[in-house]
Amino acid sequence: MSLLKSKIIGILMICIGLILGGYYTLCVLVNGFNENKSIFRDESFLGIPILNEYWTIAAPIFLACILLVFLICWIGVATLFIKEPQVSDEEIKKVRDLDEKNRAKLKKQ
Amino acid sequence: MSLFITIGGVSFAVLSMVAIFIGLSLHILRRGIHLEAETGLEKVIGKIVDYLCIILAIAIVSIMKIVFWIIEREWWFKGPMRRFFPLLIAKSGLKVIYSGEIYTTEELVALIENVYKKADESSDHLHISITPCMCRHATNNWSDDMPNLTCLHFNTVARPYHKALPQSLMITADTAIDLVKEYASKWPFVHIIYGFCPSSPEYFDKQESICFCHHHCAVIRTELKWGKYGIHPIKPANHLAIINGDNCKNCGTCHRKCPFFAIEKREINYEIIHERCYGCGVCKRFCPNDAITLIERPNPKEHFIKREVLSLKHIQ
Repeated sequence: MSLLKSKIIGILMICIGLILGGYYTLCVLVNGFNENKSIFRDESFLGIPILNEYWTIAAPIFLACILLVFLICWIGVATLFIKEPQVSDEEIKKVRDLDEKNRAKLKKQ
Repeated sequence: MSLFITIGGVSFAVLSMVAIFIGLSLHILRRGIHLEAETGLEKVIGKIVDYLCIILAIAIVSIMKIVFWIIEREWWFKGPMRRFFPLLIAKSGLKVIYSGEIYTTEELVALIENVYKKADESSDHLHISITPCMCRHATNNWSDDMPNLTCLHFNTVARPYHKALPQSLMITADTAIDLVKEYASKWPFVHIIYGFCPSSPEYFDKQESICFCHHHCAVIRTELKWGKYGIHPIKPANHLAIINGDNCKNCGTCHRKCPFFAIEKREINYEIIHERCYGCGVCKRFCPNDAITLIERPNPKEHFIKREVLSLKHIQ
């Protein structure tokens, strides 16, 4: 059951990462394309079209956001393929029995 | 290559800052909500934070896998990043994610007794859960001779971990005390970890979990890997190990068992390097000749947990 939870969370993280990342990339690129039309070539640093006012601000923020999205997807993939812990049933039973004994003692008090 | 390292470094810095920001926001939000949750809106926000905590708890092993990957890479400290990283990440971010301190069994038992045994059962904060060791889970290094169900979680993280992680149990304070005694008798390197998950600092300071890790413990790995660069995510215990020369038979058990490689072989005997000794007591536990004793550390470092919580009179 818990592994199913991991799978659901993993898929959700990947989906959210891809959707948000895709949408944000689209916004930045389309906006950049539109802005580029209204920016004079002379305003760009050293005359290089990509080093204009828009991209010098947008590119670092875009990079940071994409890295965040990448991290979310990476965690999502790792969560999706997580293995079950290898704790023996005897060990769990031992702790459970000990806890039940202590709870019974508490009730008596 | 240096460009790759620079981009990697900058991105890691940005992500760490985001992680710290989220962690601190959750911490503040949670603390405020759980103490004074009265209005409807606050309850709704509290529920959202609860679900976020559960999602974080489900993904915690994956996050730890990534952190393990990061701490294994020494190139963070080389090349152009050697000035940038220790300052920005290790002094701030890493300590938020992985920091802890070593305690003796008696201190921990006193801590649990003084805080949790006196707690009202209906309290919203004072829960305890036990889960499979998350360091072993992240590295897939399950132990054959040691117990694997060993991560004790406290406060508000106890329930999310219990809900999120398979094979976990909610336990009482008495059970936690019994387990601390039992596990510490097998492997006395017992330490407290502070995560960036929200907690209730007014009860247990910033303590989150008690670990009974083995050699694949995240803090040991970080300490051994990054300690030489001055990054010490774990605080030592308030005592040091010394070898009693009369009893010592030079069998080398302590040298093999020390998790911090603090015991070195000399020409005729073994010597403890006190700069590397964390006072965990593993050498004392395994010494077949009872040749090791723990003494008070001459200059104990400042600890996160307020020592008055321990009420050491209780132990005496």
